[in-house]
Amino acid sequence: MDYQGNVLGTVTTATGIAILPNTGGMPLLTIVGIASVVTGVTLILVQVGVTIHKRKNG
Amino acid sequence: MSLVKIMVVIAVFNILAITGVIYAIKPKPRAADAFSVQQVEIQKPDTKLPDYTEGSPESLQIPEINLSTDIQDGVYKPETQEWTLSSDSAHHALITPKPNNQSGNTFIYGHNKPEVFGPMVDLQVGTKASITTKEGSVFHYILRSVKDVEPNDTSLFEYKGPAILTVQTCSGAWFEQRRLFTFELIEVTA
Repeated sequence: MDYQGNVLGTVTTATGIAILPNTGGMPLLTIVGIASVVTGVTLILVQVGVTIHKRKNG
Repeated sequence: MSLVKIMVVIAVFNILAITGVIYAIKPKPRAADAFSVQQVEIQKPDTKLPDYTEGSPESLQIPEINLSTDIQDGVYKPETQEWTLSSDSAHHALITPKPNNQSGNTFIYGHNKPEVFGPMVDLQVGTKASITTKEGSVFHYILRSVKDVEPNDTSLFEYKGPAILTVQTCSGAWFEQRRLFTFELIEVTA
């Protein structure tokens, strides 16, 4: 068996492969997740700011 | 709706989103448990033919989409079911034949990222590609088919026939599938 791809003959037997390479980039879910986290944190900060502003201005 | 209720809804949504992100970053191979590692036959070219030519792949070019990427060696580890995979270059699966003019399926794979195979996703049949080898020869191919398969569909490694090139990247909103571009060899130039 030659894992370097060298030619050994007409047919060579190699160890079985169970799965193809996982060549995914950034999944859509990751993008949505990051965007939702940023949105959520922003909304919370806005609400905190509004609350502080209301308290200061009675 | 009160502020508290809004914040609870946002928090729940964020927890779900983060859970999804974790799942997406570390996807589990589907049906991996049902697939046992077994012996498969990998065809190697017949070097006895007089006009046999092969070369170690160095780079892949697809002029139509301005794609040019380096090719590194790719190794599969049976114990972890993982492949060599870099973020900025493609890989030639060393258990498959080198580009040659006789037979076998040369398998090259890479990330679905702009700097690797991202631009290939919508490639049309008939597109030409070429592989430059370290020995200086250039193998010219033409795209014959595009198909999406499940990650555990490894039938391409059992190919027996004229020399072809299969390029793989991931597809689908969750990158849950593997997109296979099958190229036919046209000619080899020095």
